[in-house]
Amino acid sequence: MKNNSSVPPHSDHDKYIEGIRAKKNDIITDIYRSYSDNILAYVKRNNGTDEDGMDVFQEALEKIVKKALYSSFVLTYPFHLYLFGTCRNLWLKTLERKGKEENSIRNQEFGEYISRDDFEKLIEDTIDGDKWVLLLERTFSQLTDLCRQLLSLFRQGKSVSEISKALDMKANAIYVRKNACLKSWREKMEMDQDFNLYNPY
Amino acid sequence: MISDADHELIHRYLDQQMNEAEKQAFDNRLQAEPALRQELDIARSMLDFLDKKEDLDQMYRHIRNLKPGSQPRPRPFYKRPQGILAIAASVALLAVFAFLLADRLADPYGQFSGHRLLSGEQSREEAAVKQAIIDYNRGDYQAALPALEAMDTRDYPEFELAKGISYLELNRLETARDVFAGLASNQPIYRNDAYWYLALTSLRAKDYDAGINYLEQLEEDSSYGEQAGALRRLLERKR
Repeated sequence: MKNNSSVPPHSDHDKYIEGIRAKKNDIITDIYRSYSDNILAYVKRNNGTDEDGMDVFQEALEKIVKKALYSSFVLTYPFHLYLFGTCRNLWLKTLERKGKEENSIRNQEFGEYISRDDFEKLIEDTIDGDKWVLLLERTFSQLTDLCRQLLSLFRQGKSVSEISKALDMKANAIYVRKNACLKSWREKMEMDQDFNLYNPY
Repeated sequence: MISDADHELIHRYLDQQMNEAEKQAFDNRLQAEPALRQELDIARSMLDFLDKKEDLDQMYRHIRNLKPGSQPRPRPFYKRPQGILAIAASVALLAVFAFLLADRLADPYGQFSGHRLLSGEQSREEAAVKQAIIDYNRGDYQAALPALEAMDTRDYPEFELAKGISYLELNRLETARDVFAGLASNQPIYRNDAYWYLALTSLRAKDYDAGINYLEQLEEDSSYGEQAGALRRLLERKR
């Protein structure tokens, strides 16, 4: 297998990955319009239903969006192959759980890219998600509703008076509460069993 | 873990709330204390996570809204009370002023009716459907229609759209309108295509107010925005 760590970006990188990073909903609609039928047809050919196909497509798209937003990776393959590979692997995992087999792994669709180590690695990384981001997500979700809302409102750039009004809190308590929430979040991270394993700093 | 005081300092530093002297002192500590620097990086990644989480949640909502059946069916304009009144008013006005507008009612449909070609997945289709694709793509809608009508197009919205366009081209406007309205309700990713063709159907029916109503919903769309704006301005001049 070849390793292509210095391959230049594919021409799809700017349109799709940078488009997602720029929060262009049109790009998502375009992906939906262009590829959902093909993914549905693929899943249906392989022991799945329309609903399975749509679930796989949605999950793959969400994972790709998350990967694009939370990492700085550069796409060096055609976007449709990245999407199709992610859907294929998600569907294989589903079939494995159900004890069914896929009828036709259409590796020929991937052409030269199937022989590149980094192609499969990108797909698996996309499906698994970044472990540090997952830890942040998991521990953030353990905070109280109030803390989650308060921190989100701060990061949205809302003023103290707006936050005070939205959360029905006294303005002079907002900063104290914000620091307490951040500290609580940091403690939950420290207590997470994966913290030392995945802490990149 | 660090002290409460350092925790607070880190966030004041990241929120740029320190004065110059405090910042200088803190920068000096960062140079000398790797543990403090590490804690700063962790805090920065927490805030970065929060910033992106907002974007991620917003994009997830958009993805989920695109899923067929994810939204309540919007009532087509022509079925809403104000739509019926508007249509009735338009028809009445058109009847009264038709002779005045005769020279301005030259049908502009042809300028806007370039349709996308229909493509099929070759392994899937029966011979009749393959022939329908060929007929449709060469503009022989009469020949294409029987096979499109015989197909169960619920799972294949591109064929449903092609069926509606065939009705439109054959001037079966009510049937075309029903097909496009169904598509708009049931297939979110084809909603803008459906609105565009509902606008063209209204144009052919010379129901300009209804057409404008559909076009206004398309002007933010990257695929149709420009031509939707051009057609709307044309219809506004005509009504």
